[in-house]
Amino acid sequence: MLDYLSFSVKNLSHHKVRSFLTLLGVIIGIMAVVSMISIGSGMKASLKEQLEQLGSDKIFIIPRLAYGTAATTLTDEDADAIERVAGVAFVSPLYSVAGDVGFRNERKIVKIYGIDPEKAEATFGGGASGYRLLKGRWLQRGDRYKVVIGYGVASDVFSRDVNVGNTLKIHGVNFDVVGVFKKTGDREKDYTIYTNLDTIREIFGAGDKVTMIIARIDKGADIDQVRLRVERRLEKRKGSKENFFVMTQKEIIERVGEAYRVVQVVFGGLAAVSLIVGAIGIANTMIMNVTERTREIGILKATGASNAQVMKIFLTDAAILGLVGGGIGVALGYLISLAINTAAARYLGEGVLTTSVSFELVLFALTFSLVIGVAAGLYPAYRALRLNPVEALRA
Amino acid sequence: MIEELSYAIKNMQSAKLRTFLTVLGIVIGIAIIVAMVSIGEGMRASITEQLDALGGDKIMITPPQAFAARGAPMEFKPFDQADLRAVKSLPNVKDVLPIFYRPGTIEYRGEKKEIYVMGVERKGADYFRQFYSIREGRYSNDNELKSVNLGYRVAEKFFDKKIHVGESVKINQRRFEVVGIFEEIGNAEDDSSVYMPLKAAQDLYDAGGEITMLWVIAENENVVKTLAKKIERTLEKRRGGKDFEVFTTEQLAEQIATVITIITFVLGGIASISIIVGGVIIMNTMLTSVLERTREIGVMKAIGATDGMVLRIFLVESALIGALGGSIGLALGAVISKAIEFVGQAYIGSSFITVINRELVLGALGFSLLVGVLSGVYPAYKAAKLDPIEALRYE
Repeated sequence: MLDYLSFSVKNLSHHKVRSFLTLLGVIIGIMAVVSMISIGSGMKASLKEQLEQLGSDKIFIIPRLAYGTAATTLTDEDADAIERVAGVAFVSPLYSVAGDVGFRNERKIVKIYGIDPEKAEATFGGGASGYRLLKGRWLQRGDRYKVVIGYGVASDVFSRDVNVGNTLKIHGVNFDVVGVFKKTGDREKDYTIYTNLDTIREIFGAGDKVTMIIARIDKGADIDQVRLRVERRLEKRKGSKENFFVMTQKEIIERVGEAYRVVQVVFGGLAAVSLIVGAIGIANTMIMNVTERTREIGILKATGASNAQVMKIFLTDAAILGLVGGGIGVALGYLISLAINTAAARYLGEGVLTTSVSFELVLFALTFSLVIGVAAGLYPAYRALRLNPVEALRA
Repeated sequence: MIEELSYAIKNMQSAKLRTFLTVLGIVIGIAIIVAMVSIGEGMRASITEQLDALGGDKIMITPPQAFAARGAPMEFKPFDQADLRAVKSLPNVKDVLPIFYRPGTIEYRGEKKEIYVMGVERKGADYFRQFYSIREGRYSNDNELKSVNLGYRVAEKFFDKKIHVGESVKINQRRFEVVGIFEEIGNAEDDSSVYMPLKAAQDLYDAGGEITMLWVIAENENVVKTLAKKIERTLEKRRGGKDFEVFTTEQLAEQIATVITIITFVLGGIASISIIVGGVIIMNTMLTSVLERTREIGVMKAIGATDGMVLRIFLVESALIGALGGSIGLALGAVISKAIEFVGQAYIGSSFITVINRELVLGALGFSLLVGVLSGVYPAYKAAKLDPIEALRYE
């Protein structure tokens, strides 16, 4: 084997420019595949991380939505009914609204979450879910007209920074800012205002409406069983199960992961086309090599080289081109992936787009490039071994 | 020029397999680019057609779209009768159509499907005549609270048995009589909706006088732009902030066009990587060709060929490879594009079309020619600079 390797290296370095260009084809292809797939898997990874922070002991209940309208209305009574389902420890209702918020003389529309402070801490998980206070305090039960704001609301929404002690006018009513969260990197969390459920519903005239219910299950309870029971209970109350979703964290990951998989397949697939072209480049080079070395092959055969040996010589050439190109391509693809990360963090904001190159991806890319190299070398190698030694010597 | 061409063709024929592989590299790249861009162009064409059908005298007022995209389900303050009156009283407003819009369910012969429920006024059908034309039956009148019109897909595709005028269906558990069925509009949403009198839809959801969106019909197309701004200011003042969006048909078209352009660029861009690899292969082939023909070049120069003539010979050959690859790639791309259209229509509907227009054809051919020429520059330069004496001695 080593013999073949050193022989191949000698051959390939004989035609430096040609070998370099052939490698370049594979390098570009693998680079494109690795960096494109890294975008998809990065999105998937950051989603998974976000959801894992929420914990796996929660069930999410939301109405079916379209363009900001809901198929059905959930209420406090629904929340209470869900809380009575066997296996549910407690529920945390949430009312979220796109509200008009005034600060000094500016007015903006900001997302507002109305929550029960004590239950929200237990369901969102407080610090564990990425919510950490930068300044001030968290909400308390019984707080009226107090808000805690996300980092983005404090620093980015209004032209001047909002601080603890400032007043925000929400839908015409003054609220004191009592706390500011640290930056979580998640736009959704950072650009939201948090306040007490009843206060915000009162201001927006929402009665006992909730927009999402998060149910935390008992320790040791089977989450799929509880989910089914919750769904059945709600179906009985609402008369139909088509108008709302009852989802566990795992199901949410699967649903959203599906969309990212499509991105990954489309991007990766398009990039893979360039890799196929790269393989054509290898085949092209190998055929040129075989043509040029016709005489040499004749001599090899005349001095007793078997067909298998000749074949191996050329296949080794092709495999090296594929693998070396793949190796360099993976390295460059990794660098591009890092560059996308840095650029995305700067221009789109932290956590909006992260890329990740997994060990599996590296392994896959290297294997793929090797396979492509060998496959592209098969026909030229076959041409070489088919050569008649007498004819070949005469060339 | 003709001379150079026939010379190039002769050379390309002398190494058929090599020429084939080199051309193939470009073929694949161009085919993929053409297919991708044709999807984008198709989306553009189909959207333009739909917007034309809407008419340039319309202004749409909707809940804030940006908020609807991510995160916990969100409440919007719906529009109310007072909003409607305020808009109606503005100058240059011919009419205002309130629309109520919610996700819901339809039941037919014991089978349940998800739909969108649209509450509309009868006069809307006159303003959107090109959009909603009747296929079977007639429009619902405003006082027929138990009547419904079905979108094309709901009647034709949702259930095993097609629904016809005169039959009854259950929408959100309530019984309605089908009085009309629309022609296919071409987008999945409108074709998957049911249309009933505004009041019937509001009652169905127990939503009082709630309005989800407003269509404003301007007196003529010239006032649309200023009217849109005026509407925005009026509603913003009334509602205490801009918790809604105002689009003219033109703005809608621009916004959608921007998104489509981005998609086309990203997909086309990734596909273009394979063209670069194809260019690298051309360069490789041309370098080998120069090497093999060193002696020939020596002879040419010895009998008086100038550097420029030699340069041209090789440039023409690589340009020819590029153009040939481009033409075949274009044809192959057209086939792929049709195949995608066929599959897309089965899943998405007849609005999914792919379009290969003159710009795309010219662009693809121009691009492949350019890649061919650029890849040939270095090899041709190398050939032109060969020392005739050295070249003649070459073996």
